[in-house]
Amino acid sequence: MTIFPILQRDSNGYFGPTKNCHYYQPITYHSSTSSHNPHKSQWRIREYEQYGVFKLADENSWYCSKNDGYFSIVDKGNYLLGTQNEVLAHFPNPINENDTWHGFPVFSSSKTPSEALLEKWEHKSVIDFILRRRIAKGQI
Amino acid sequence: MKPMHLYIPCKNVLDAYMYGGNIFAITNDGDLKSLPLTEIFNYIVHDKSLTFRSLLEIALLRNDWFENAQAKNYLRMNELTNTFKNIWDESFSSTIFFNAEYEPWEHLSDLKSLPVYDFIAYAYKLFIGTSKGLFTVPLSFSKSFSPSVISKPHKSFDAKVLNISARSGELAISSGRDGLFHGSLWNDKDITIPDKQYQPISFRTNWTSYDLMNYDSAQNFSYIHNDVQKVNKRPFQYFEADDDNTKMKIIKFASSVTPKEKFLPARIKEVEDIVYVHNSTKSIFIYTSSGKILVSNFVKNFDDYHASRKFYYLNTPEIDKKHAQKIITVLSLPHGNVTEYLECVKATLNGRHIDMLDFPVISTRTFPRSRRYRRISLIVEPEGIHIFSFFPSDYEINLTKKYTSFVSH
Repeated sequence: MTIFPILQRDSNGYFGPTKNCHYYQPITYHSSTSSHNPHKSQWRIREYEQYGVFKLADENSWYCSKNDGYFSIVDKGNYLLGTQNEVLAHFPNPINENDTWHGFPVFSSSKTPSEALLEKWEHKSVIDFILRRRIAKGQI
Repeated sequence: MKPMHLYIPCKNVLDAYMYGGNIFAITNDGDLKSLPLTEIFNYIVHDKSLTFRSLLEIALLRNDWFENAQAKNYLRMNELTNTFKNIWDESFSSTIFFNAEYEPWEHLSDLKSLPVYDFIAYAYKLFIGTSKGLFTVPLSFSKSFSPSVISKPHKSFDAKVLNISARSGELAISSGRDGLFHGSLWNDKDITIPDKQYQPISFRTNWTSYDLMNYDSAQNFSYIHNDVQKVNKRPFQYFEADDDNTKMKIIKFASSVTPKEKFLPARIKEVEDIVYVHNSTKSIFIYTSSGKILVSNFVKNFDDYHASRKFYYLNTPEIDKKHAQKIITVLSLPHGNVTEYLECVKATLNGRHIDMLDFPVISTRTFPRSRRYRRISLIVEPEGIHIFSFFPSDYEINLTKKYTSFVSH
């Protein structure tokens, strides 16, 4: 069951804007319907849900300067994002300021959110200590 | 058989460890404290039968009872073993509570740097891995094993510490994507971890004799060989019963590194759905998303370290698929393991899975190199500490039947 409002892409093929005037453009090779590429993780959720996950990170300033991009997590990690049961998503900073954003599900062992972001998440009850420890230790 | 299950309610504990007759714990307000196991034992047994007292003693305080030849000889007698198992099951059929009306914990020290990501006791020291570095706390013990802190926690390493593993006076420090580091107690009583990075990524390590496996993700690893030399004396203190007590010194850490691709035989590499890899001293265990467990033994020849081409599927029921893809950590027991999943903790022993806890936990530990606690798993969750103690597996008991008598002629 989705927890994000159902939206359509605009005439340019984008979702958005967020409150920060950022647009999101899904990438085909991260889609679960594309052919399997072992080097590219795949979303298990629909495109408008990907945008919902991105919007959550963008509007709550879940930026990680160490990884130069946003991280997102939904419903204390109970909302699975990737086909391999990934619960984290990473949205790398676009090369040009006006470019659209894209993102993909990640395991915390391949992209680990900074301690500052984990601290912020725990402080705001986005995650609890159990989940923080598991993310930091690359276990999920 | 059910394990003995002891529950100690105590809120806000971030991690805990059993060592030298005590439970050491650290709380989220930085309180480093200890609780003697004899305190728990005496509280629980005061109105219980002698049988219960004896069983609890071997389950909680003296797992080494099974190491001696007499115990093995008794357990070769099937009737005696069956009676023993029945009494164990009956005595430990329900969870034992340690809910003292007084404050049983003793404050040892304060630690400012939180959160704690790993916590171990080794060689008369507590090692606390935090987001801000490694802190070392030297301990002393009275004749009655009451611990005290010799000095305040001192910082031994500046980077984030996610995993600490110790063997033969050496510490392997995993710092996530900052790498694998190493420190030694042989030349440095106060231990400082040099900045030299041995592997670029490390989330956990597991020893296999004097070598170790470094894991850079749930499935990926490298095999690290260390050069060793036998010596007559170790320059640091250690507990005979709780620390490994061999007199081998690692003279060169990471003298060679074998990547996973070279380490695994071709047929295992073809297994596509590997979700987790774990190792014990002798074997490597490969968990698949379909719930199967592949096992292969280590082959260690001069300058050639790999997993044996002879591998087999572990003879246990497949792990429920809803859990199989959600392994958080696997820990060794004698001829079995404890597995922490996303939402529960289970043991695998005697070819079957045993439910331990059915909710997410903070940390899960076993003590494979301790003689006294090697059948124990200690689990920390937000409301308290759970201790499980396992009866020797049928496999171990059957092994004793191959031994010759302990009586010398």
